[in-house]
Amino acid sequence: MKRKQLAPHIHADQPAAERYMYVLVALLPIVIGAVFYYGIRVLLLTAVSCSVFFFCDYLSSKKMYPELPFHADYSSLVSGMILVMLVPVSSAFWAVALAAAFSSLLVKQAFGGVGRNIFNPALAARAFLQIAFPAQMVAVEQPMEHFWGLRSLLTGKALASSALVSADVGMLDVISGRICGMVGTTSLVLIAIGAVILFERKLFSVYAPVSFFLVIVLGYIPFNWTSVGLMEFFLWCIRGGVLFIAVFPLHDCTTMPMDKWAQCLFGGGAGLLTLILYRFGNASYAMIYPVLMMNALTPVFDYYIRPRAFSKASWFREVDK
Amino acid sequence: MTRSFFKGVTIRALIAIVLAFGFLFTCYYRTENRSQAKEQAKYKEEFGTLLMAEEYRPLKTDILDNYQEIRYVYSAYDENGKLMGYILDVAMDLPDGSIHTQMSISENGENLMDIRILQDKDDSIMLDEEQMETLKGQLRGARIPVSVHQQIVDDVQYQVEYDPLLGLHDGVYYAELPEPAKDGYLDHVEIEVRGGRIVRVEWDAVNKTTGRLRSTDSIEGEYNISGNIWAEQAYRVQNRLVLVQDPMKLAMKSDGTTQIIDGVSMKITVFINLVNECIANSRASMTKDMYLRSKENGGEGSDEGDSETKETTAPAETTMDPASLDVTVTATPTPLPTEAPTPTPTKAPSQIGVIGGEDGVVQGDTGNILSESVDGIPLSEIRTYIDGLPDMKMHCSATLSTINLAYKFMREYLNWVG
Repeated sequence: MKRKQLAPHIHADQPAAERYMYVLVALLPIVIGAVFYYGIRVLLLTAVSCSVFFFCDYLSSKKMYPELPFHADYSSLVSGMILVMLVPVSSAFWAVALAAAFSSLLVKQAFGGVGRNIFNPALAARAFLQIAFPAQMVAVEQPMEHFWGLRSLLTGKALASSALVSADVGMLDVISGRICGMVGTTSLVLIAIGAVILFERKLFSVYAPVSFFLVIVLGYIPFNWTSVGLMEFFLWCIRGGVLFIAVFPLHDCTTMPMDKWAQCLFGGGAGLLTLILYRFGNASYAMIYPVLMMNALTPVFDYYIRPRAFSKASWFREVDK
Repeated sequence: MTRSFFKGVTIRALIAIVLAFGFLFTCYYRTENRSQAKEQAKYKEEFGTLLMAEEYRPLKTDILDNYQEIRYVYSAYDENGKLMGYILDVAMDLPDGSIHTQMSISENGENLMDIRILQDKDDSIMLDEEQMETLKGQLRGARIPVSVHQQIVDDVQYQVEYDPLLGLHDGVYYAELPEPAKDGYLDHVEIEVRGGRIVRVEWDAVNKTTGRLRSTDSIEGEYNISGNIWAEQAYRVQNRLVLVQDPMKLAMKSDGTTQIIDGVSMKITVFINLVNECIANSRASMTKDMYLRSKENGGEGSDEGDSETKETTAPAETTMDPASLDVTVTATPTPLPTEAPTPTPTKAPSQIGVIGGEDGVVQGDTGNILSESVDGIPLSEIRTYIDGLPDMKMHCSATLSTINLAYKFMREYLNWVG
């Protein structure tokens, strides 16, 4: 007996758990950098986020698919880590936990679990936080100020920065990630180390991230050809997490089209929407929602621009049960 | 998952960790040095006009929690790491507006080095450039706390002024010990009485061997005692006597010391005895010239003076006319009023020979000096009186309030430090 199975279907030598394990390794330097800059609160946020993601995945899996054994593939941990890297360090624990539960139950498990979700779970959780708790999402702090500071566990109130010294940044600050921003999005080099690890394991496809980045840069620079505008844009990219989003949430094999040309359009479309939102809308939304919007279009890309392996066959593959 | 997979994951994780830490620490040291230099440059730009230093460090102390008006305090260090002073930023809301000042205070917390007023609110109290310079000229280098001269005269002078002793005749009176002490110094006291009040007191001693004054020797380090130098302690005792008028109110204890005069730890027995002798001479109208002549003649005049003292009984002429008070006073901590004051009732003279109360306890109404204050600081602590700005009394008073608040913080902080 044969049955039709849903996409995506990517041929790979590694099972999903191994792929996610390498994504965790790629995230490791970024988490270390976040703890280095923002203190042990990052570790606690990560623990909360990963735990809630994991238990919600586990419970919903047991409830919805009681006949199947729970398969620990580390995707919960990856989503939990990415979510924390996208929030300010002063975010409340309960807010992060709520976002993780929302994402796991409504974004991931409601669509069938890992590999079947339409939207990237971590980015969807971040979008939830942006809508539900916007004040917390803009309360960024100066790095290197409160390593042991746990602050209020419930309110997520940010601590005041130094009275006189403003956040002047130099190029070395930007490269090293020692600037105000989300906890894991500011260090270009650490994100690059993660990307190299993924690339080395052939888990990184450059089409979508590069097209995303190129469209943003090429669409911005000609219209803001002043040093002030460029620096402002550059800092916004770093603080908003252009590189981090390009390497991790955007480059999610579940929510990204399969074909490389489709990936280019996918990344380019996300970049274009980012520019439009940045120019005419709210800059704080400009990094998150374009990727989610393009996630929604992924099935359309996959339908019209199919990989060669599927091009002559019908859309649904037939496999033995 | 195979063993080789875990091995691969572990190796890559270790490489990632090493690279991450290597990168972070390298950047940390590079950016830290640069950001510190940038921070110090900002501080120099902000505070350099108040106190130019090589390094400024924010002062973190719980004491600041008690001083909400003090926004921040920085300590300033020179290139050798030696403490140069403190920078304080004080903002106060007053009934007539708000005032925001920044000031530098010396490392021992005693002197105001410089001050400026900032206007950062609509209702900020401001002085024009000329007025500010005038006020700064009076305040720079002044010992803190500070009060306005006129303010004391108007508000406090009459309340704190002590009644003069009865029976004093105007003039200059003198007394000295019959023999030099073991260290060779012969103590003498000279007082000046005007309008029935003691307006000047001078206490010193002459070394019979060298001919030098003890005050000079103490300043030059030739004569040392515990605590402040002798000249300073003597100065404080003299000032206090001018203030309280009666040596009994100096509250000398049985061991010869007093605890009511800040910075005075030496014995004042000789001083008290000589002052009492001067007072007796004043009552006997035995001026300094007469006293010295009588000493040269073998003490006959002195006996005469004593006999006159015995005969003196609260004479009518001792009821002074306050309007006749002279404003030129030497070594007085509180100036005499320039206008005719309300007459203060005179009272019976203290019993000569009975010095102080019960071992340092000040009797009767003599304790009121300690209860009078400016900005919550006892008058006895006020170190400098300035003329202020006659046309801008309120502005001047507000400025001084910020200085005195800074003084109170420094006093508490430096005591806490140790």
